[in-house]
Amino acid sequence: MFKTLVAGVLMMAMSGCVSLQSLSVTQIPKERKKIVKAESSRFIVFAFNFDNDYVNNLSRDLAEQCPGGAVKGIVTKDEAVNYFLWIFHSRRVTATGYCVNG
Amino acid sequence: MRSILAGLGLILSLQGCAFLHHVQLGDIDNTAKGTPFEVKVSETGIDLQEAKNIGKALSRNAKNNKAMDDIAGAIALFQMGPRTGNLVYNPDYARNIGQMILAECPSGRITGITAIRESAKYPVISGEIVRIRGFCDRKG
Repeated sequence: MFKTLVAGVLMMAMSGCVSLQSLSVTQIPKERKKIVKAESSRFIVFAFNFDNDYVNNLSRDLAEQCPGGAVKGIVTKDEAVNYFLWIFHSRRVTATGYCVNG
Repeated sequence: MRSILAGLGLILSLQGCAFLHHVQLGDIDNTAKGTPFEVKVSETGIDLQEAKNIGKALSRNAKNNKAMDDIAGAIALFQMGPRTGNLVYNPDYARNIGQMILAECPSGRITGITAIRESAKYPVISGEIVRIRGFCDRKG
């Protein structure tokens, strides 16, 4: 019984609670056949995070998935995943858009 | 051992922890080749709560501590509402960012804009930063 309880607590602690930090969306195009997605995240122990450069390449990652076209209707989602009492947490930025032929 | 720990603490506190408040991507036009650019503005922010706590820790006079509480409370009354990061005393520090972008990209043909609002946190003070990254088609 005790082991099950410990395992349950451990699983809950490891799964992490997600909170939304910010969200933005650009104009959604008429043509929405091809979806492109880029994600970037950083695992942070305590609050020791010395830069936010992990978000720098999101735009380039999306562009590479749509050569010669345009990426429109981009939804940018910034989330914080809390693993255990904010001792460990990660920040995850996801950008999803539609590749439109240029 | 103590001096090593103190040194480590000092190095970590001087590094400044980075907090991301907001990130936003703009539409990307991949038909033209653009060169990357970045503009950045920042302003010093002050954590009054932290300043008050340090002041109280340094002062053993109960009267001074009470006065610090009163001052912090009075300032807090005028600082209500949602905000990101610490208080800054120049609310216009990001006002000219549009002109700065145009200076970097005089053609005005900009694509793939990433707008980042972040803070670099040090003891008591912080850097309240706005960063704009994008790609400029200089031929246009």
